[in-house]
Amino acid sequence: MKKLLIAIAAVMVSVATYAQSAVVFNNRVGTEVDAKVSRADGTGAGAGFTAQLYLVGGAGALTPLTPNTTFRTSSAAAAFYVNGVDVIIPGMAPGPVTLRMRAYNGADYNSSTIRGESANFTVTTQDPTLPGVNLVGLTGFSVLPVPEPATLALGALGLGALLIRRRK
Amino acid sequence: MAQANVFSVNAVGYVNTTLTPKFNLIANPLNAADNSINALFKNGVNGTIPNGLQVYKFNGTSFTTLTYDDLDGSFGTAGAATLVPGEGAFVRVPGTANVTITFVGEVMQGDLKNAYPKGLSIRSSQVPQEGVITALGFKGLNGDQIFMYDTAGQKYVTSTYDDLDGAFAPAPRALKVGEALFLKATAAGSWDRTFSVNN
Repeated sequence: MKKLLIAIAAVMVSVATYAQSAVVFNNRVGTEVDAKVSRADGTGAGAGFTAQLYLVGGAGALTPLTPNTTFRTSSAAAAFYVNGVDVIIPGMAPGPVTLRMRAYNGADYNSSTIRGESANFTVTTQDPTLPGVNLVGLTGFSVLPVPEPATLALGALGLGALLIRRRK
Repeated sequence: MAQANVFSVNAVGYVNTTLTPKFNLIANPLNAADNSINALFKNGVNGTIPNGLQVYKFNGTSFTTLTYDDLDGSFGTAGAATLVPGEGAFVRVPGTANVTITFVGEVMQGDLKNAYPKGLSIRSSQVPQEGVITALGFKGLNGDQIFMYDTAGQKYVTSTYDDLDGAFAPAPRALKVGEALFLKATAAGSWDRTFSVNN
């Protein structure tokens, strides 16, 4: 005679042969998540932008997670939001994870001319036998032009001149 | 006043569902005389239910595990739990060989109602037809999510219903006969469908 075993999530973890967690990378999920990504003119990011999630580690180290995704283009109202994808966070057992979302118009974030990122947020992932969790806590942000080095230098020069005048 | 004759036809049949090693998210596609898990999983082709095969029924927050033991040739008293059309369960196949289960029973017809709670549940089509969930009668609300199981990759593929587009995105693939999915509903509801084999 076999007893009915009440399986908690931890039992399922024993079946899995590796630690991983999953999140649903979507910045619009009903009333649970609504984190708009806007351009400087207030319109949605839309065409030409890539969105990517990053795992925030110790000392703020960022690890890009895959896959990345693009923004919706079906309407102006939808352009603030990404095409949802499932993201597996490798090497992370279920539990709290800190993430950051970035959006950019180039091949990667650092080389892009227009970009932006969210504040860090923490979600609690669950056993991989259960569906991925939504990005509750993600807040919206804007993608803005990155100042060119020449612009930055001129700005510094102007500030320096202002300080010299004040001393005189 | 002339009235059209209405014929009611009971359609009885069988469905072979092949389970691959590791996890499968399945449904009972036909209404059997006995929908208990002991009875449903008795009909392995050539009696090949492997020792240690496990069925996991989801109760909203956690799983209840039923384990097949070849000493008893059953899931024990736990196997009295049922799996009716419209529900679903995970089945874990140990080892490396596929297992084929034969479901025998009636095709469900009439005004069918498959109630689901707010939050997570495992659901399936009460009618044994293959199709995209919305073509099988499910009406999504903004924020509803479905998680279809990729058996080969042992992972979920999520689609979210967004009222901006009036559809699930990304577009979900067709749900196979005898396959279930996870549904995360923003509100309790009912997956309704009127079906007749005469149509």
